Amino acid sequence: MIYFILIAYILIVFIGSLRGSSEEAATPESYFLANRNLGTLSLFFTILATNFSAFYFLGFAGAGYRIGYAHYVMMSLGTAFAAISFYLIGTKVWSEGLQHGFITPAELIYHKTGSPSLRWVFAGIMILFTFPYLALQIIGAGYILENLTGGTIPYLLGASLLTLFTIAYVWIGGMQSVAKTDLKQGLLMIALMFAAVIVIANGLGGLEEAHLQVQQLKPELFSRTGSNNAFPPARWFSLLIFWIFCIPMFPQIFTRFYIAKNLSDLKKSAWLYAMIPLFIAILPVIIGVLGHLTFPDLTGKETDQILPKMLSAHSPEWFSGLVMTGALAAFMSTLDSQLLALSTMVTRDFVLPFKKDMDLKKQVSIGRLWVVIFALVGLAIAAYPFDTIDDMGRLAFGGLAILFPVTLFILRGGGVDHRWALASIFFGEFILIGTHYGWIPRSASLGFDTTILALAVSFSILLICKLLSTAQKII
Amino acid sequence: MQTKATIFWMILFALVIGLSQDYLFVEWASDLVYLGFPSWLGWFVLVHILFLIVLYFFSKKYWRE
Repeated sequence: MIYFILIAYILIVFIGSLRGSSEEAATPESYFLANRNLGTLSLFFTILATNFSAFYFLGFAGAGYRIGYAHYVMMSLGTAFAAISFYLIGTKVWSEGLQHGFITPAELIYHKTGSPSLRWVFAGIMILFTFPYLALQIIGAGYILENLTGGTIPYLLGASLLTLFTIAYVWIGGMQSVAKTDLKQGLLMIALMFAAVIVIANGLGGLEEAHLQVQQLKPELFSRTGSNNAFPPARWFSLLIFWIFCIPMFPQIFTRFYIAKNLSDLKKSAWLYAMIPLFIAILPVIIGVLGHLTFPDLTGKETDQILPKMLSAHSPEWFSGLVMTGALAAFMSTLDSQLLALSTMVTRDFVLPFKKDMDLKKQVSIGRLWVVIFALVGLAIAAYPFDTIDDMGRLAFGGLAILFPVTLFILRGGGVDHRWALASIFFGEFILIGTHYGWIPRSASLGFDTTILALAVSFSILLICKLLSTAQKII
Repeated sequence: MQTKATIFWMILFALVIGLSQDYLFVEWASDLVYLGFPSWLGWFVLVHILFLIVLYFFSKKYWRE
């Protein structure tokens, strides 16, 4: 039954991508940006689908198991606040992209600063820090397929199968097919997660009864600061505002700002994007919390498998197969967008400047080749996963967030000298990586998340640059 | 006029973010309410809804190209 569901799903998505490819997909505009023609719903779902990924399905459930309901608020409200960036960054990206035909984020940065070095650093950091998040989708697929088939498909084989399938349909269809599958996969994902919570809660005697039992076992999961005081005040503030800086800097989200049909669609998508986590972010967290009743002693990487474990324990085989197929869909929808965004960036930012006479079809061909290379790199990373999905995601997200101050100053701050912009990025990344690996003591961040310290330094460098240039003008 | 509106919306968003920093003005009891969810969850649902209302009017009244 499980194999039938998996194969049927794969066929449906694949046929969808073939239909996408039958429409014009021979130019960078159509292959990479769906002709800048997505309306509100398609745009919203394609943004949502890239965000709610293995980090959502497995990461949220694992964090719900370890931390409790405070994690839901941090992710739900934090993600909603990120809609502010749709205005701050998204509007300018959309209008500049439409006016000048940009396809990658770094093309916009180059146009505004005239600095090839800033362009390459910006694109390079986006690529580098997207890899861990890209690998998360592959890791998630490995976990899911292993659980789904009772170990018949081992972790690495499952991860490899999903990678190959995603390469195939991105190769064929590009952004047209990605956006189409995102809409279907997004709807499927939401419906299945609601159903999963109902089935699991019923299997445990109803949600209220199950909650009462968990509260007796682990009352800290219901506490406002989370288990082991996971969110003390300074950290809570940091993590709630963190997503404002991070989410627009995901290359797959930044690129989505280019593809809105008009500003009204972008605004409506922003509102929907802020609204939807209120309802869906809690679903995997509930499953994670209730997981203590059936699997009370999980630690480390095991906690990230609580969702498939609970489904296998409390629902019929056909149902757990269906939900986990939905999860796989979510992983693929993130993975395909990341692969497409990264391959576009390499083609346009690193190859095209040295081969200016390259025709449009050749650009698409090179982009396809990079899809394969990046997918295989992601698979190699997935062979040696981090401790938890949450850990792996946060380093990637922090690295991308450091690009926010430069982007904001360029788009809304009247521009910035490229040398100061480079300094802002380098120092920010140095602090982030230094605190992660212990070269810089974590206490330097005064209880705030270390990314906030790194962002504060990046912003400060740009502010000093602004003050100096204003002072020079006055003198 | 534009500056005033900018400041107004900045203050409004800052207020909503301020409301999410609940430890500054309230200490929650550990009781469970509807369906066994912790009571403090309701506060954040309200803040979320308030944010959506502010964002809606922001997009109608201020958000321009």
